[in-house]
Amino acid sequence: MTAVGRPKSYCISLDDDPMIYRIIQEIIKLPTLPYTSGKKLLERASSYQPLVAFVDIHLGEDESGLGCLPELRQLWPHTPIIVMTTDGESSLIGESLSLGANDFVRKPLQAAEVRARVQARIFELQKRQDADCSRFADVVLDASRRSLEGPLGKRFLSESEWTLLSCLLATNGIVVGKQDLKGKVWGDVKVSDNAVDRKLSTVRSALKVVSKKVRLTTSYGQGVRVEEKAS
Amino acid sequence: MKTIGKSVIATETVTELRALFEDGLEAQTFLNDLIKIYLETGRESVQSLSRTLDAGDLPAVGRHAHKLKGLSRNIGAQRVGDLCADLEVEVMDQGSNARDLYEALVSEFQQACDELNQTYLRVS
Repeated sequence: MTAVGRPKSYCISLDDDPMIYRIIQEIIKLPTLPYTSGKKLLERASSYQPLVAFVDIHLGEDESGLGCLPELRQLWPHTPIIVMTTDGESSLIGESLSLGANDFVRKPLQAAEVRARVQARIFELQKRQDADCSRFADVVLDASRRSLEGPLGKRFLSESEWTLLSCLLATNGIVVGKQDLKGKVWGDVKVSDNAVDRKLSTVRSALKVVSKKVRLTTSYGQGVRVEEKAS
Repeated sequence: MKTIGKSVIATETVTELRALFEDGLEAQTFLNDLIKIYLETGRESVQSLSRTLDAGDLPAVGRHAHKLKGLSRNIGAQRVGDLCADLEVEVMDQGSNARDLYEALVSEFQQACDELNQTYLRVS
């Protein structure tokens, strides 16, 4: 399904059992995209943001659902990932939780249990997302993904760029000198002025791409700040 | 050996699957779809079990048994699922009883398919 044709809320199921996604779909009443191969799902996972995902521990011949968990967790930080397991796999439950799963359900799936766990995990991760997200003017900042999203678009920053922007936002529009920035972002690590300028340039560009209102401005001889432009 | 008159499909599982829908017709359509998947995919799994047993590929036998176990439990074929579980365990050991378990499994699977066809599948 392409991004254009994709429903707003949907689930993804990773299981080589062709019945499972149909059953999940009817239990949680969400369109459910089926994948039988972890490899294929990982190839496309970055284009998805499912409301919830179900992953079977055992897939086909050479695959394990567990192997997909770390990458899925990274790509979908706010998506509850629920592992499906059968009897005798209790030892793998702990491993799946440590690899990034949020919960587990035993097969055969029990409708009431699946619904309860899905609702609880969605609520929990929604709260976490709200805590990770903040707003400056018309730009939403997501710390878990290091992303900026505004009316014009979305951009991702590297770790140092994110830290740099966070420092500037924390000062509430007060100018921050370059030396101060170096200390806050890089600590004792020596960085050149050019390196700092390159990072500032990237952040400046990213803000321009996502918003007309938020700008990183330079006060000559003093430093930089993030400000909301008057409309 | 066939057990005459005894149901091999757990009615509570079928009832739960039907209960996912308010509309009886939608429920039956859904059940029909699952049954057809079970009949087709289950048969493929049984064939794969036979092939891999003959080849002595015990890990592959375990994988196919695992898959058929899941399919069977989804649709309420509990005894088939249990035999698959036993076969999974058996092939992790030396597998000396694997053939006997397979034969019992084939018989139970056939009974499950017959019952699904005769009792639960409704084709309009």
